[in-house]
Amino acid sequence: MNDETSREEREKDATLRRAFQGLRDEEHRLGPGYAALRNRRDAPAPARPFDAWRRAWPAVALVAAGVLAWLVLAPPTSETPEPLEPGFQIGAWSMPTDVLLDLSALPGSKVMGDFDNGDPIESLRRDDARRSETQEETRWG
Amino acid sequence: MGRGTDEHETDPGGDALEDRLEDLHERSLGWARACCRWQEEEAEDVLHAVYLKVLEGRAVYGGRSQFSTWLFGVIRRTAQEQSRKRSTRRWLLLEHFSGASAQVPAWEGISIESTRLRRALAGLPGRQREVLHLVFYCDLSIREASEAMGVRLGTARVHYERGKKRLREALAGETT
Repeated sequence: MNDETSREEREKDATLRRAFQGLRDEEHRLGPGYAALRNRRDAPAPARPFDAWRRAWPAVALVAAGVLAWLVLAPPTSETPEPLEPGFQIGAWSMPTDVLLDLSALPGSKVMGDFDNGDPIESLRRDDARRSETQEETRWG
Repeated sequence: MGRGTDEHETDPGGDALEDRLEDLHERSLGWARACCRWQEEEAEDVLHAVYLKVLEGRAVYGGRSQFSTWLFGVIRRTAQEQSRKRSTRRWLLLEHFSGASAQVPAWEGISIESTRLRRALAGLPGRQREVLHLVFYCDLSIREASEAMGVRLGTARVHYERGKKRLREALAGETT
């Protein structure tokens, strides 16, 4: 059984070998000989840089037109920042009451509604005093 | 067919080297063609570059394998180098606009059977194609083929068996 298998395999191999042999004979008949190839002096001509770009001119033209259109049609942007409101100072808010003061000054602000007597500053002062008293009691009591 | 010149020998100089190259020329050219997917001009450029490398001493035979095995390895590496360079150049210079085809070219003077074989070979994975070509076309053993390809013997054997099976199927498909 093994002999038969290996004989079959050898026959199949022989078929492939003959096919390759045929290819080799034909290629050898047509190709250049050793001396012709060895003494060949014509190195492959280097491609001229950007030569092929000329063939791609429609794509290049389209991209150029797009860039031009974008430059012409894009809305102008201002590089100067808008002036600050009079009296505004960066970093001037240091206390929460200052912030509340300013927010409460805004028209329609709801900050006022969060306090029981309608005066946020007075309310905060009362809260502070209450908190201090509690802390004192905790410390000594 | 030049197999008699394959004894292990270090650095055959001058005329001896030329004789060996000439003796192996037909198989070398066939192998260069297979490495370049039968692009005739590319194959000739590769083999020309290999001859210059060997004769100018830029590729030196160390005697660790047979001369033919070593030479086929040099051809394979040179073909890979040139293929990489060519791909980069194609990409940079937009050569695909020229409509160059990567298919196996039809060649005048080649019979239908040989054209079928080349087409079927070109359809195989690279390693399978290489090992079959080296064994059946270049008359190397599987061990020598594995050395030329730079892979282990076991790997070459696997590629050889799978390649034969796929090649037979491809050829049968081509015939029907």
